[in-house]
Amino acid sequence: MLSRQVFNLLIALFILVAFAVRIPDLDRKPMHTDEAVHAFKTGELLEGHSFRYDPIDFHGPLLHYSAWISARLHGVRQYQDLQPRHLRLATVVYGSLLIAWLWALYNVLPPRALLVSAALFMISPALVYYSRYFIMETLLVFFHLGFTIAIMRYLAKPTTGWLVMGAACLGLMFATKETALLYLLAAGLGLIATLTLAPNRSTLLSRLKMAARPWQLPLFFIICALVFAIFVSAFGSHWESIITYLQGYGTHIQRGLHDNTHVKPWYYYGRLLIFSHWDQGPVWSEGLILILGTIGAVHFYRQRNSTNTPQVTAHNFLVWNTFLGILLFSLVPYKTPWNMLGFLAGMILLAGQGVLVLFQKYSAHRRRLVLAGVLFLGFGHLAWQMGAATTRYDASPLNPYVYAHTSHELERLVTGLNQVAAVDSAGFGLPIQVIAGGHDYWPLPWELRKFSQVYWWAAIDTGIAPAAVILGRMTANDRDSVEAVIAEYVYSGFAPGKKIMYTSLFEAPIALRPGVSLAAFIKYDLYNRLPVAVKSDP
Amino acid sequence: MNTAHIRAIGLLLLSVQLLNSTQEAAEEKLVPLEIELPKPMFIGTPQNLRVPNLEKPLGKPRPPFLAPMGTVNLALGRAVTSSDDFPVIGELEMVTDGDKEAPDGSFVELGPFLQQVTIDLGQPCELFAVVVWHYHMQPLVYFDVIIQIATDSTFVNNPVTIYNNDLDNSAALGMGTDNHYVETSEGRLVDAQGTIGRYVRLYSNGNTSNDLNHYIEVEIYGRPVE
Repeated sequence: MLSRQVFNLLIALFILVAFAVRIPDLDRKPMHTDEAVHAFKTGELLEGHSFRYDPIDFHGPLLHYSAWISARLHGVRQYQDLQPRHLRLATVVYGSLLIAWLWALYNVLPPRALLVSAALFMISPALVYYSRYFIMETLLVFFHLGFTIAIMRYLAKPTTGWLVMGAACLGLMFATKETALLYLLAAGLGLIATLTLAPNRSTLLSRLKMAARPWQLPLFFIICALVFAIFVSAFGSHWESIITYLQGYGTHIQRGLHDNTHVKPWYYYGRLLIFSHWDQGPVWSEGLILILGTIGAVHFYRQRNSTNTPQVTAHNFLVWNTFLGILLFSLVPYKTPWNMLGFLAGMILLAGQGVLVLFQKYSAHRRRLVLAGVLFLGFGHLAWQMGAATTRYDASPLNPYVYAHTSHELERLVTGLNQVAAVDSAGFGLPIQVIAGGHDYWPLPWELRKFSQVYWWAAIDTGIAPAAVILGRMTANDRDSVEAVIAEYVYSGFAPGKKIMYTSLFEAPIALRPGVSLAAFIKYDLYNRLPVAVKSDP
Repeated sequence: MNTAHIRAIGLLLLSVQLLNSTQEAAEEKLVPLEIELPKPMFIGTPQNLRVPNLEKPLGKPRPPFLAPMGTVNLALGRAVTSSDDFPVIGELEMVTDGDKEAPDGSFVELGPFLQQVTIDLGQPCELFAVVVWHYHMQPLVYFDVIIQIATDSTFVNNPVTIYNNDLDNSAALGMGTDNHYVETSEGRLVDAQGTIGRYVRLYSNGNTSNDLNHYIEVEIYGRPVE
């Protein structure tokens, strides 16, 4: 058995490498719509506004508070000075520190299995990709893992310390995102299954009864509610946010069941993790983790019949919690790829045991050598995917973790508009009108954050004169030509001889994301003052 | 000095004061007003269209398609067969019933993965265009859209492929080079280039939302061969 000191040292090393693979070039990938919306909220915090919960397209405040710390450490105090790296560093920290939870499992799971899990946490392409993504899920996974581990530790030895830790983690999960409820449901059902389906359940229950104290359960819920309330109420500034948050579950349940935009088949997550390949792109798979995790889960489940230690109860809870997490998230019709991270983390914990089981099964030297070779190749493929997902394919539809992501092409638009601001006397006060049905112009409010005079329109307001630059969203479903609509707006309001000529800023529309483009129009005199490089297509 | 004099001096002093303040105002530098505009409205996670080689939106309606005089929709009311004889939703007849609306009750849903519908025009025809509406309630993209025209119902004797966006040959009907496209209410028009044939077969292999296949309507424009 590995000594505690060596184990601690190796886990620390894994954490350092996890940071090293997550941190580089955080500005590289364009900001997703969701990231941009979260950035806007964080910007409001930075500029002195307090968080107020809004159930429509918002979640808990923890991501914003975490990013606020990161931004302030970078010396940023205004929304317009924020850069993606300031925001994404917050999720990088949580994504890397996931591994630190394994220190708490030294006495519950075999240390060698934990080291394998640490390596997988370090290189799992999905975990690394979303650690560099300014959304709530990495935080949710971090606290969920803490919550799971606290329950495992409590089942192994019921102490108040782990109960408090579990309650705090659960409170922080709810303060992060509403989907915490699904994790709580999986954990609750998992606990019931662990305790009722154990062959030795009477011994198990009497042991827990003896060790547990009657005040511990109320204490658990009080701490959880307190932690949640402190953050969601913005440290007491908006107590009404707690009620709004709870009422918001109606909206989220409706969306989960009826919003067709993200409805996927039940096997969506499984297929995404096992095998993804489109056209000339590479083959993506985290199937190795699923296979090893299944081996580990079967081992733990079988083990409950043969041994009766507190650790076995903890192992079984891990199995049930992970299995029910997969089941619940697969049953909800609303699916986005980042929702799989919670149970992927559970599978990684089980996968560590899976590797140990395989090495125990194949004891002959040659077989072990072959097994080590296969695992080396498998881990190598995971590491390669991790690198590819975060560099060449970071916003490509050939990457399974990319979901409605902003196109790199948008950088051209931003560069172009910066050039326009440079030649116009108004500078970043240059008026820009953005017209997009359904207010579907995100992440432009992030990309144009330096411009102070931007009109965000769902439809043209003819009561306002045309601005120097007009951007129009184009989709395949547009019934009317965007060019014609803008031309009508620009030319109809002026008498003959007084009309101001406009032209296209770029030779072709700019892709906002797959299926959505932007047409950019600019006053002709301003256009003529621009350098040629801005106007021509690359 | 009477009251009239006092008033006159008062008016004079007031005028001088007003003149001074106007001059001061004229000398003051003018700056643009900092008017704060309304904040952008928030939206949820946009729909994912994970599709390589996706056509950029035109941003305007499709231009008119020109066909010879006498060209009509030959598919209207014609018999439809399919690789899925028992559709999940709807009936195969819906493919050629002339109803192009998207709501429930107007489309047929075929099983998952690669599926096809075949329309028998009843006699050899000169075909100029095929227009297909898969499902346009949402901006979906269907995969492996392949349209073939043949003179025999088995499609063995030199079928002519007029559209193929199966970029990786996953349908095993040959690698295509046509674009993926977003479904719209104006349907997808494919130029049939006057190909002669009696049978038109349309393949698809799921869409960006699920693995199922849908058809609201297929129109085949042409004229019978004399």
